[in-house]
Amino acid sequence: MEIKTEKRDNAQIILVSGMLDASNYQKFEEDISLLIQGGPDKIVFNLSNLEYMSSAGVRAFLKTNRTIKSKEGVMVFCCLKPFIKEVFEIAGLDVGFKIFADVESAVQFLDA
Amino acid sequence: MIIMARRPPELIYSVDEKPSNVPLFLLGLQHVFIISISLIFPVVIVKTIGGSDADAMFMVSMGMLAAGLTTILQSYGKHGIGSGYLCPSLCGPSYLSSAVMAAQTGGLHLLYGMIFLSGIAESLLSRVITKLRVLFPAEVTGVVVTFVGIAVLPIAFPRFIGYNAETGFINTTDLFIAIVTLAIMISLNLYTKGKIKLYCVLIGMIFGYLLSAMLGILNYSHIERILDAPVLGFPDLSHFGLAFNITLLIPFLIAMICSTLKSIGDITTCQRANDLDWRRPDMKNLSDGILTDGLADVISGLLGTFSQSTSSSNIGLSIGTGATSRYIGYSIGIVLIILSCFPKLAMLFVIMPSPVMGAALLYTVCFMVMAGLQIIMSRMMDIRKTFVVGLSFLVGLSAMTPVFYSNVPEIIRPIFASTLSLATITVILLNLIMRVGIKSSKVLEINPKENNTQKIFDFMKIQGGIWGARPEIITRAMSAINEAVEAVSFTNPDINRMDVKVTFDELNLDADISYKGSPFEVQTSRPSEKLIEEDENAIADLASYMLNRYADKVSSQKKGDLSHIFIHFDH
Repeated sequence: MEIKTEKRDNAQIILVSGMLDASNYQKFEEDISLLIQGGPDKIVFNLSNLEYMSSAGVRAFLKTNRTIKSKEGVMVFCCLKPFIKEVFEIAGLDVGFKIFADVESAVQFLDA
Repeated sequence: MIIMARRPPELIYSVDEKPSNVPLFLLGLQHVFIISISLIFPVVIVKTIGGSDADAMFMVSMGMLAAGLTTILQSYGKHGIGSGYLCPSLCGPSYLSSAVMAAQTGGLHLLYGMIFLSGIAESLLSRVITKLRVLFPAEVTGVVVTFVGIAVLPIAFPRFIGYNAETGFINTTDLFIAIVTLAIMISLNLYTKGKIKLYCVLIGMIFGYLLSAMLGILNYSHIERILDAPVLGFPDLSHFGLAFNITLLIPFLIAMICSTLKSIGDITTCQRANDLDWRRPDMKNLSDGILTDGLADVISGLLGTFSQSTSSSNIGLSIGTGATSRYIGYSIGIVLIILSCFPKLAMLFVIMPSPVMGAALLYTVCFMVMAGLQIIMSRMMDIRKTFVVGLSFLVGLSAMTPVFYSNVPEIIRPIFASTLSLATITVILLNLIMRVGIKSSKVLEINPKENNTQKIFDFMKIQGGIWGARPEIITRAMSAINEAVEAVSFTNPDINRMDVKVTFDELNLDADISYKGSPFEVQTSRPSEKLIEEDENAIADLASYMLNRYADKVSSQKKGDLSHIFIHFDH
């Protein structure tokens, strides 16, 4: 699993690639926690390269959201592949989070 | 009976919808034009044996009557008669070479007798077809359907390009008419909607007739043939009769198998075209459709005409125009039955210009070839299936060079006489040979302390390819098994071995995950976000819930010191 970051306008775009499962969800939580520490409070998770996510990955995103919310920040998702979309629906993440078709729409929402 | 299906949105008239009278008639007429193209087969046979015009007209009229009756029966779809789909009948190309053989050996009565026998054989075969499912998985059916389209090429292409076999030259006037006719059909389909799109083939053919008249392909001699034909015509009883010859049994049985497989492909295509959720052939429906296909030959033999079979071209037409209503089948049947009694009207079809015939055939063949390829690719492929499909295509296409097989023994020559029969026999045999060594179940050993996601995914993808499973089921199974393994690793952190046994047949995919540890709890409700955020162990509950959502059935059991998780998917 790989993470790349990019700044666009006032938002931090975090591109998550590979698989997010029980073997790496804790490292993911730590890496994201370091990234957002004292940093941006508007996050876009670009999941266009995320091939698979298990329940452990769901927990990682929920915990990350809790951290961002504690700093009065906002976190959204974009570019979900069909399988990841299904995982979001089963896990109920599609109800609590905003999901966009592309990065531009997500950034526009955060700027508004 | 058709099982309740989800209507595809692109259909204008789906299987159970009845168009109003005018579209019903025009749509039926459009199909009749395509069906009439196949009436050249009886004419070809009669001319080959030096038969009379009366013989030819009789076979053509009876061909219309047989096609009309069997199209109605095929559309009926109740009490075990017919598939219930718009699956018109016409003179089937599978029998052409064996039919010529029979007519040359013992005259037309022998042809009628052997067709009658083939019909009985196919009707009996329909009763056991569900048990022979292993013989025609998706790759076999798909190859047959593809080659049904390809096999029409020797009839369609020379007519399209105006090829003269005696001179070896192309008639550019014919080619021009064919290109314009085809272009009109395609343009109307692509760029129009509603009724014009529905009748694109009919409109194209009418333009083709007009252009043929303007350019002299259709001339006064054709009009004279229409004027000379009687208004009303009833069967001449001297043409009826059945004869039999045991030496022709093998070629006709081979032709019957090709025709049956083609019909399986055709009816499967109809099922698929009318159900957005289509996953696999409805075997009971197929069985009823094949029975009616067999009865069609029984009727054809008794009436004294060429073998009738489901029409791939017409099914392609119905898909291409979005009108798959079974009521169109009734309209086709009634028009054909009426035409069989009016030689003057029938002559309108008999004089169809060759380039118009070629254009209409090429148009419909496109949809048949694509339907076959889609059936092949609806399942996961592995190296075995690559060889089954690839070799069948190559061997089947080799029949386009008949000189390769000119010294093949007479008794099996019909197999090599057409791309369809050669591809069919090849794919059936290769499928059976390549099944050797395939096991219906496989075990994967894993250590829950390691990262297993990729290992599980690779295992399932390989097995899915070997079994020819549906890709969407394999994706769900991979995810479910991984969730089960992750859940167990959370609740039993000390275990270092789990066995995942996966079993597959055409209808079921099952996983039995066993380990030495505490029993698995199946969660039917999602744990709250708060719980998941605060308690890491809640991941196991979430994993159990997600597993339950991926699978069709989940259960757990403790047997001795082994705990089991049973996961089931309907395939």
